[in-house]
Parts: sequence; structure tokens; C-alpha cells
Amino acid sequence: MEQKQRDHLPERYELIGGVIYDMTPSPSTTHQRVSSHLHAKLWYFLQGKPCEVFTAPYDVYLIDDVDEWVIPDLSVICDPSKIQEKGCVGAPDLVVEILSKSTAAKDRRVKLKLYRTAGVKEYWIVDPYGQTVEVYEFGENMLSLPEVYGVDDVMKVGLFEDLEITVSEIFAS
Amino acid sequence: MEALQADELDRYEIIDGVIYDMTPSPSEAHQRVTTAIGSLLFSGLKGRCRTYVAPFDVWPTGDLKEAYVQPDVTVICDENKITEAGCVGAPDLVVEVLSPTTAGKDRKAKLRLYQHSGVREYWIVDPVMHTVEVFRPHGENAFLPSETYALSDDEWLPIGIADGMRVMLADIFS
Repeated sequence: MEQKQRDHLPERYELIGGVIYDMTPSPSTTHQRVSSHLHAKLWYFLQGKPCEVFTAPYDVYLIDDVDEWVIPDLSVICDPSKIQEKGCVGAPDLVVEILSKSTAAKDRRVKLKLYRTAGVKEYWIVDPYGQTVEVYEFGENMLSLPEVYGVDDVMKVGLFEDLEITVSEIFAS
Repeated sequence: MEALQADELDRYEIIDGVIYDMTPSPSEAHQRVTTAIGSLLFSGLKGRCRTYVAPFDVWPTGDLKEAYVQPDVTVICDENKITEAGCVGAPDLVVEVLSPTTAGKDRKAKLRLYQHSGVREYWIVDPVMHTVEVFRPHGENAFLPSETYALSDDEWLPIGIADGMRVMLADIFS
């Protein structure tokens, strides 16, 4: 990053591979409603468990010592040593991104690759318009397609065997 | 879904024995995008392949008793598959434009169907996010994870089945 650019930094931004991604303006009502529903379900489920869920804006430094961070919509972290005062240092176990017009391309391309290579175990892409959840369980097979859940489905969570989420409840208004 | 009887419905699809109601008709935004893609592909591929917009009947497995769908846009490069009734066999390119009532089906049941039938290219178009996810096969009857093209980031969308040809994303989402 050059000094010149630093003078014009947006109020909230992500830095991925040296590229600055503006995180303003704030998300829409629908986006935030979906985020709240998911957060509530995950938060409630994780009570008494070692994992913790954080909502955006919450900084995640995927790789320690690398000048790069993201602000996922939801981050679930099961290793308490990664949870530091400045944010999460290291890869969360589960990351959720809720699509919006300005971030959809980044969520589907840049972040998909980034999360996979950084060691995130599970990545959800949530489409508030189509009302679908695409679940990527990052294993050894780079070629596997995501599991997709629609509004008629009850979705399974790879990370937590005993958690099931009724998809229509995520998108309830 | 199971309770539906095909003969009671105006327009429907059958995938894996499940009947999907195709009414009500799609939104203006859905049809605007569908028309744009249909026109671009129709003129771009003229002479090489035929392009149809829905409603156009397709039996992707080639079996009239099996799956029956009406893709938003269908491109067929093998004349032998085109009959009076529609397309019998796997189209070369299928385009589905998402709507809130069909997105789940487009991403699951239809993706599986197109994958297994040997469709060479499948586009999932999001008229709100302004993205096109392109699925192409690797090996036999399996799609690779999609490549995403977005109006916010890209100028062009390549047409995989027509080497070197491409369309402008701005023309799709204008």
C-alpha cells in the first residue's frame, strides 16, 4: 500500500492480497435481518461450547504476521487462543458471507479461494434473494461442489453434527 | 409437491419424479435478463447452434418418460436432438435465471440433472447480484465448481461452448 492510498482509505475496508476492498456503505435491511437470524441460531447453539460466534464488523487476520484482513458477516471460532482483542488471528472454523450486490463477486471468487487456502473448515454463501445457502466443506477434494439448501430444506452443519437449521427461518421477514 | 398432478398444472417440470409447478410467470427483471441472454446467444451463435427461450420443452436425458424441463435459455448445437416437441437429449448450454421461487431447484435438482445428462455448460444467472456462475464438466457427467463473472468486476463473459466468443455483462444486466 502506498502512502498516497492511505490518505484516501474508506472508513471500513478489507485488505486481501494487497487490494483494498471498501466495506462502505453499510448493508441493507434484508442483509442484516438474515445476519441476525443466523447469528441468533449459532449463538444459542454455541452456549456452553468452546466455540464463539462474532458478527461483522469483526476483523479476521487469517494468517498471522501477514498484513491482510477480512470482515466476514459471521465468524465461528473454536480455538480460544485465536480470539484476541484486535479480532481473530488465524482461520475461523466457519465463515458465513451473506451476498449483496457490491460483494457477491468477491464472496464467490476471492474469498472462496482465500478461506479455502487459509484453513477455514466450512464456508457458507447465503443468498438473501434466491433464499439459498451454499455450504462448502473444505476437504482434500478441490473439485467438489457445495451442498445447497433451499427454503424447503433443513440444513446440516458439517462442523456441528447436532445442529440443524430450518432454512425458511433464516429468511423470515 | 408430491400431491401435485401434472395434468392440473399449466406449466410444470418433472425432475427425479418430482413435479415442479412453473406458475406464476416470472418477474419483469427475470424476463429482461432472460431476453437479453437469449438474444445475445441467438445472434452470436447463429449458424452454429440454435437458441430458444422458455417455454421450450427439453428432455435432457433423451428419454421422454424421464426428466422434463423448461430452461430459461437453451442452446443446442446438434440438429438431431431438435424435434417438433422440443429438445430430446442434452442441450449444449443451459441458462437458468434465478428467482426466489426457483433458486433452490436451479442450484440443486437442475444442476444434478444437467450434470448427469451431459450438458456441456450451465449458467446460473442472478438478476439481483448481477453475477453469472458458469459450470463446466470435468471428466464424465460431473461439473467443476463454478467460475463466477460479475458486472461489478468483469466486462466479458466467455461462451465456453463457442471457443473465443464472449458477451458483455453490461448487455445482460442493462
